[in-house]
Amino acid sequence: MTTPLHGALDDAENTPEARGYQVPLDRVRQRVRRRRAARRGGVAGAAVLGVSALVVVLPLAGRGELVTPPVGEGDWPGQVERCGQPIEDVLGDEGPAELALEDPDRSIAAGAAWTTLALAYDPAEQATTGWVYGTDVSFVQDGVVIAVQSGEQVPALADVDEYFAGADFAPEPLPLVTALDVDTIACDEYLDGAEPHGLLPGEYEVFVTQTVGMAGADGEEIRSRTSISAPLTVTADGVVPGDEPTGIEAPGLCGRSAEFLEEMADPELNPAPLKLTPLLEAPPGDSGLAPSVPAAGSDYRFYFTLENTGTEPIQGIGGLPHAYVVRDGLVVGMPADVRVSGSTVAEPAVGVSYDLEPGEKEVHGVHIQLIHCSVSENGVESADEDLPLEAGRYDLWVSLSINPELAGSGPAYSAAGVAHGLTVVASATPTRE
Amino acid sequence: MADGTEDAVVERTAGGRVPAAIDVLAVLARNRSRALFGYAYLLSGDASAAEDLVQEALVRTFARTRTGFTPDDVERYVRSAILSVYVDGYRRRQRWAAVRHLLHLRTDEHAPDAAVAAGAALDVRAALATLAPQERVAAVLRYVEDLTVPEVAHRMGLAEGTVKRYLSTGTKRLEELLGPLPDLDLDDTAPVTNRRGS
Repeated sequence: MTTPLHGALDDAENTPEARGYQVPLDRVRQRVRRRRAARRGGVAGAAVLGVSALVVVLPLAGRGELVTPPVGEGDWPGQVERCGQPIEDVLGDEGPAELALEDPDRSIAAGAAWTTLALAYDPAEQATTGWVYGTDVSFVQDGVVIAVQSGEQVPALADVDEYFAGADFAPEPLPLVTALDVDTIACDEYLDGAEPHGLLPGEYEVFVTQTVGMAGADGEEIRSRTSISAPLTVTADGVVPGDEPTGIEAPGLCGRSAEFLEEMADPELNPAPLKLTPLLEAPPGDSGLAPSVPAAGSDYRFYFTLENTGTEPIQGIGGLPHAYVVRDGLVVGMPADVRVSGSTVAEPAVGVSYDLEPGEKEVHGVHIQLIHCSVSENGVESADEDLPLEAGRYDLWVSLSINPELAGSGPAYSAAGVAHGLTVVASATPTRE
Repeated sequence: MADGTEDAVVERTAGGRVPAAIDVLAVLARNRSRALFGYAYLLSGDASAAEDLVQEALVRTFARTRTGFTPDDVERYVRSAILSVYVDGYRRRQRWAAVRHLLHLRTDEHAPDAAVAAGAALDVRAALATLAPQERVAAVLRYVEDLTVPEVAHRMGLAEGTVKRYLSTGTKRLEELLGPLPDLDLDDTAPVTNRRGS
């Protein structure tokens, strides 16, 4: 039996378009070489990132720069594969590791990069070291991926061996800290051929998915791919209406009275069933930053217990605890980007899971650099590394907020506690009292 | 197909002398450009899309180091890659098209098929170009490549029932333009006609 379509292929080969077509051999060869180099480069680059530092920076491509990831169509970055997918289809939920975000940008200007610190850890504490295979970032609206990070795509867990064949990752102590400074590719830039524009103004949920390897006690590798999200508001100028510093109604913390901390620590004014109690010694087994630290200007680490003093379990998501340096009743040192509204601290970090039974205590560490905070003319607060604290006596405070995993599904708590007094000497080791 | 001897820098292998991969590319480009383009053209219904498909398929094929393959071997890989690139790209665009309205973006996308069909002589290629992309792929694989329905389903990564639905819809449309096609009740597991020589 024959069909009218039987000779269609021969016909197609003899159309004027086909007769005039010749494979652009030089262009193909160039792309073949680049694709091969990208495969090799992805492996080598990842290995270098793994061994160079605790802080692993996501490799980023410049805007408009051609990217040749391991998968994808043509020269499209492989992560564009996620475009248009429901977010639940691209999240990582394999392995034991958990992920937390420290200080994620809550608002940025359209087209700007999004930054945060991603911390991967083993909640079961079976693993003590690990390494990062890579980090994916998806920007979501209405449950659908509409923008992705620039740079190389992270392989799926099942593809790690093939993608990183021959790469050797040096283990680093947990938690693995990854500094993300994410330029974005809006999906319509590739799929609709739109001009590069990055993130447009709007409300987003940012999902960070990280693939890590961890070394268990027996040295066996445990792989994990896990996700966490944070909300993001994109505006034309990066300022969210109502959230901009006014100096009166929504002042920053730097230079402000520490009364808000005292109120949070007062059980009558703040009946939250959370208690923060300082520890004067580092917990056993913590060989990180010791309580005794270098002179003013350096990192200072201390510890406290978080206790559920109520009769009901406390479960939720919160930020990492924040430390404040107070002198003469005023906040003089604090992390950047922390704001306060009334007596409630709006801590930017989200993503740490808390689960405390009644009466249960957990030990947490927190660190702060012993430098002055400062407020710029336009009200932006920052920590000034060129301005270490003066010698003298200070009070260290710590605060923590825990929110229900689903908004409205349970109470939110904030608590604060005075950690201890601290005498800082100019060029010597500060002494704890 | 020409053997491409003049292009081949040969290398020793246990089985004898075979062309190195990059030289097979030269042979393929010189001797089979039209054939590869024609295949991509039938699948996509669009000349510039066909050029992109051929180029990407060649890059995909040759970016993975392959030695010891003949141009005939590689052409089979490239044709398979052309199909994969087109089907994958179609799926991606469909996925995006299904949700892009949520994002309040411009919606000036249009199918290239309409432009091809409008005012064109309704020959076979133009008739194929009137089909939806998935229908066109199924029709090309079934009627042009002479694959069985299970083979078409495998190549497209779809269920057989889905392929049958595409073929049913596509065939009706083609029959309106080209006249009767083989009976749809034909054995799905048999080729439509004798296999074409390559």
